Amino acid sequence: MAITEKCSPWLWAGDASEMVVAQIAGTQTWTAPTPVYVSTSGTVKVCVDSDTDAEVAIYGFAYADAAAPTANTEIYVAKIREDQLWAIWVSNGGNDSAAAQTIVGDMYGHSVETTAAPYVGYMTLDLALTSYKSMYVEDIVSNLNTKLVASTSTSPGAAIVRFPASVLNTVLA
Amino acid sequence: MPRFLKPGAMDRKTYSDQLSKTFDVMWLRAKDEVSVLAPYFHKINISEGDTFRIGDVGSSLTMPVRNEDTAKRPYAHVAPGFSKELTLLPYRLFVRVTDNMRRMERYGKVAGMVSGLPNAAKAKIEYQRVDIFNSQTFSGTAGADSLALCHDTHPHQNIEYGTWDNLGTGVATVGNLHALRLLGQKMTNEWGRPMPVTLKDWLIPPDLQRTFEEIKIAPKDPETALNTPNVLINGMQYVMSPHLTDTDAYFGFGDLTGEEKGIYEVSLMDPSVADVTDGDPDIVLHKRIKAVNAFGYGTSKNIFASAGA
Repeated sequence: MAITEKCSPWLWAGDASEMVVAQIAGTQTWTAPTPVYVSTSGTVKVCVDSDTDAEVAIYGFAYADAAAPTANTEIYVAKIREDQLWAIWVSNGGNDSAAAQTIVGDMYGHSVETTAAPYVGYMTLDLALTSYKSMYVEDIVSNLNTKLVASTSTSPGAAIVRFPASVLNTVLA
Repeated sequence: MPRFLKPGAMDRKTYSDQLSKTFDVMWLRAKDEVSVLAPYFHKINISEGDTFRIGDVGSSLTMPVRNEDTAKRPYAHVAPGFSKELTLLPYRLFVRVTDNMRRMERYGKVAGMVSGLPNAAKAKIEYQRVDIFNSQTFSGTAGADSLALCHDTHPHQNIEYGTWDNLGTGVATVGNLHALRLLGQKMTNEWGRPMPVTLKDWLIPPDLQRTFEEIKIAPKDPETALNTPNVLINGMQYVMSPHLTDTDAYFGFGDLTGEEKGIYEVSLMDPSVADVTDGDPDIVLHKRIKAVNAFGYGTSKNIFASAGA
C-alpha cells in the first residue's frame, strides 16, 4: 500500500465519532491512528488488508496518543457511525491511485500499511480489493473540493465513503 | 511528524498536548491568509436567486454622416452586448469542541483553535478568485463570448468591426511587457474606434518578482546594451500572488472600473459565522461558516496577460 499523503481517513461529514474506551489485544503491532475491529475475546485488534472474508470488519480508529500499548491496555477509539461519511485516500494494489468518477456507487476493501515506517497504521481504499468489501463509495472529494484533490486524475485521489453496518458490527477472531 | 485523527470534534485525545503540564509556552498558529486579488474583481451583492446573469449594452454610436437638411434622415443603433450567467453555490464548514476538551486544556487555546473559520472562508474565496487566472485565462470557453479571458481574437459586440486582443506572448521581458501595454493602448470599442486602456499594475507569481523588481528600478533597459532608457513600464507596480500556479504567466490590469473590469465576484451571502445550537451540552463552541457566491467573467478589456512561455 502507498499513501504519499500520509493521512488516515478523516471525517468528511456527519455527527462526530463516539469516543469509546476499549482494551487492545496482545501482539498488536501498530501506530495510531489505525483502524481497529472488535475481536471475539472482546478486545480490539488492528485491521489488516481485507484479503479474505475474515478480515472485513472495522469498528473505529484508534486515537493517536497511544503508542503501541501492551495487551489489555485501555485505548481510546473513535467509533465509526453508520451514517458518517469519511474521506479516504485511494490505492490500488500497493500504489497510489486516482479516485475516478467511475468508482462512485461501488464497494471496495481496505488496505492497512504495516511495514513502511511513515505510513504504518494508515488505511486506504484499495481498488484491487473487490472481493471482500468494507466501504461504499458515496462520492469523490474532487467533486466537492477541487483544492484538496485537484481532479479525478490526481494520484492519490480521495474518495468519500460510508462504512455499512455489516462491516461495523462484525466481530472477528 | 504529528499523527492525529480527525473524528469530527476537537476532543481531548486528539489534542493531548493541550492537556499536558509539560509545556512552558503553547502558541497559536494564527497567521492571516494571503488575499490580494479582491481589487481586480467587481463585486456585486445580490439578495435573491440561484443564478446571476450579467449583460451589457452599448451607448456609443456610429459617427454622423454627411447629410443635408432636406435629405432622408440617417438613423443609428447602439450595439447589443454579450451575456454571462454564473451559478451561485453554497459553501459551509463547521467546527465543534467537546466539553471535556475545553475543561481539561491548560493553555487557554481552545477558543483560538476554533477561530479559524473566517480565515478558512477568506482562503476559499481567494482560491475561487485565482481559479480564473490559473485555469480560465489562457484556455477554455467560459467567457461571455465563449472564449478564454485573454484571447487574440475576441469578437466585438458589433461583429462587423472585427476583433480585439488582450493576449500577449512570451516570457516577462521589457519588450513583451511593452507589447502588453501596447495592446491596452490600441484597444478599440465596438465601432473599431480607439478606446485606450492604460495599464496600471501587474499581477505576478513570486517566481517573477526578481524580474519585475529589476525592471522597476533599472534606469536603462536591462535587457539591451543600447543605453535605451527604461520608460513607461518602469513606473508600474506589481502585486504578487502566491496562489498563482503558473510560474511564468503575468497579468496586466488597466484603469477600467466597475462592471468594465469584466471579472465578477457575486455574493448572495458573504462568509458569516453562526453558533450551532442543537442542544448537546457537551459539544461546545459549535460554529459554522457559510457563504453563497459565484466567480466568473464576461469579457474584459481591462486584463492583458501572457502565459509567459
